[in-house]
Amino acid sequence: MSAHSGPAPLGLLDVVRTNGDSFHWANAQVSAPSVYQGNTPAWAATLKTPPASWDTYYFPWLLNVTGIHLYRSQQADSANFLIQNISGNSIQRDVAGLLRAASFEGALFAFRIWLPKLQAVSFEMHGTLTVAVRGEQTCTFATKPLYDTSTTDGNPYTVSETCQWNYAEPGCGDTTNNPCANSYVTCRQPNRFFGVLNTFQVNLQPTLTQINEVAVNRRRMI
Amino acid sequence: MPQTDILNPTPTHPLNPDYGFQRKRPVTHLNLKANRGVPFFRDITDVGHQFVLNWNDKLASHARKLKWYYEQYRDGVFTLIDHEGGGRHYVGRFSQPVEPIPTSHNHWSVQQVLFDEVPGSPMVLYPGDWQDDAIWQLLISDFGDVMAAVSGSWVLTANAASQSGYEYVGANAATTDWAAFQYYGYGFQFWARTGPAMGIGQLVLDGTVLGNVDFYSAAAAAPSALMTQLNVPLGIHLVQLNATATNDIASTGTQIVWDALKVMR
Repeated sequence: MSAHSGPAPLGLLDVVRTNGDSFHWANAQVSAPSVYQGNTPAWAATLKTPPASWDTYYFPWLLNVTGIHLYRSQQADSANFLIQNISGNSIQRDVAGLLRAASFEGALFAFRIWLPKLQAVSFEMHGTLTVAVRGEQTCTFATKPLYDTSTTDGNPYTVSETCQWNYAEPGCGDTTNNPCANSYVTCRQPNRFFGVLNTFQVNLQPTLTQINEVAVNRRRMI
Repeated sequence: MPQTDILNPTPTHPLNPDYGFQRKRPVTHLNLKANRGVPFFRDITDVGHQFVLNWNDKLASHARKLKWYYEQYRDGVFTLIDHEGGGRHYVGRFSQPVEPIPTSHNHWSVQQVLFDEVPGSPMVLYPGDWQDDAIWQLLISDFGDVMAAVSGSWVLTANAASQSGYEYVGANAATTDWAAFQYYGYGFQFWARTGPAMGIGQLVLDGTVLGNVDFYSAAAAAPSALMTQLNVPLGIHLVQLNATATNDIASTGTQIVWDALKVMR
């Protein structure tokens, strides 16, 4: 019965990559309101007649969408968007040029099922993109979650008796090309030692006093 | 110069294939289309014509000669003339073995031999029927794609007289500016309008300078073939129009124009 209920639903894909450029692709050439808006990419200047309203014009580049899975958790929702990679001038393909101009890695996307007669959305999915396959005829974008813990930095440093600098990096500043053991006693730039000393050690002669000469190299996390 | 070895030099030559072979040219482009909307198109390979030929009721000497053409030019090319098709030349080889079959005493049949045109081969006579065999390679495809690539100061300008309704107009102020178009075929004609305020460009084919194109004319003239390059082997070729920043001494401007190519197929 659905085949008799009106114009077929369309797939609309809005993409905003991290440099601010926006793209709108669908499986038909259609004008519709978009979820994400952005800058018109420089590539648009090569078109015969760039769309007057860039963020509501959908290019018919979306060939297929497969593998949609929604998990309702931090697990990445997944989908594959198959985009044509044939159009363009006689020398360069459009998508290949766009991929070369700037990265689509991490670009925000919103995919919707659009009911053109109702001007309404029956399904909507958000995430970020990663380029899965760059083929001769097509380009496949896969998805990554909006919140990806692997992209979040951990603690930059720990409080420790071990110096936090890598040897000879700018914070260390030593130029003798003789790596230390990240301990205070082996440090040749003690005024830049980046650690917390809780064992005071004086290099007294063992003949005068018996103290431990072993460098303390203990890490303590807080 | 194996292209000078012609299998069937005259219309009455005994090695002419039987009447009625199919003039087939394999698909050389990619074609994709979304659910709804215009298709996308791109030439990607330079495979040539392919003809399946038959020779019925030939003498043994003819059958041996056909077999010789296969053996001799398995890794080479010879010329086949399509006498029924206006005498057009094709340079290629038999890409499958020639296997004569005896049908009666001194009567032989050679069936289903595939003649494969080989791209890049020089020809004794290049195809030159611009009326019937050549096609337009427009600046704007019928699907709306701008097919020429440009670098520098070029403006896409509507012009009803242009082949696609649009032309690229180059300021021709810097010698680093260029427009380029890649096509599949043999030779080409470069079409553009001329006028009293037009400059001089340089046409380059696959990196080889063909010469200058003078867009100047005392009165504005409709697009015409400003350069014809006939002797080009089959292949995928790149035509480039370079700016020269020069003009005719009588010209009042330097503009150059990319309108269209007419390409021999």
